[in-house]
Amino acid sequence: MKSALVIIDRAPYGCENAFSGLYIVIACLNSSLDADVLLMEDGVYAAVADQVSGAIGYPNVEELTYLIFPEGSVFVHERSLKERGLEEDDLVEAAEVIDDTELYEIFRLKRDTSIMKI
Amino acid sequence: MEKKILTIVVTEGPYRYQYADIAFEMAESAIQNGYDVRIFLYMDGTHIPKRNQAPQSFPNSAERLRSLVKKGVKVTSCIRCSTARGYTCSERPYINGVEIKSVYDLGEWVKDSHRVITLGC
Repeated sequence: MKSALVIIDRAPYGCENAFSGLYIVIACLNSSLDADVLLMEDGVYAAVADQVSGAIGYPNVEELTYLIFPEGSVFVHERSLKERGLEEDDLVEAAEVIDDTELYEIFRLKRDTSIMKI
Repeated sequence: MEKKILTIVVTEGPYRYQYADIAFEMAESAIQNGYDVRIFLYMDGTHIPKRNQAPQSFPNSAERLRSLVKKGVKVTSCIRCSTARGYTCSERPYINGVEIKSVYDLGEWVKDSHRVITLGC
């Protein structure tokens, strides 16, 4: 495989998937793969800025997005974001908001890509 | 001709969900179709190779994994996830042949693979 796209659709902290999924992206980048993450449905919460995870003693998922960006992209599904009352301004700088057409293009252009839904 | 490589990433434990069994069936099928199969156990998937499981109603997930190891399947468990769940190398918690390594090894496997399948929810 030449690239990897990790899809996260669950919110951080309530569930381990966002934290561990972002680590897979970091590992793939470390192996010189072209690796990105796509946050959709409740997964968009992983890109919300100013997270304060210390209160529950969990690692901050927001910080992990900066281990991915700018080498890899942090795609955030626009419709999922809007459905949850969030705007692009609520997100970390690393986030790249994409609509359904852009999402289609990303998938269409991906070749030799491992798509991993975590 | 060089064999094609299939990597299966399992993120759920056995019994509560069917993913461990689906991984087993997929691995068997892929071997029959000439693939070199690798299994990476992540998050609760790291429960699958634990020794001394004794399910009364379901196939034993560790024994199924053991049969795959005997057929040459490489099985690696994520060290961060395993350690968190009390499975450390020094206590040999797993069936023989299961290695406990870093998620960075998964990055290398993805690079080597022709197909990657994730199983979990």
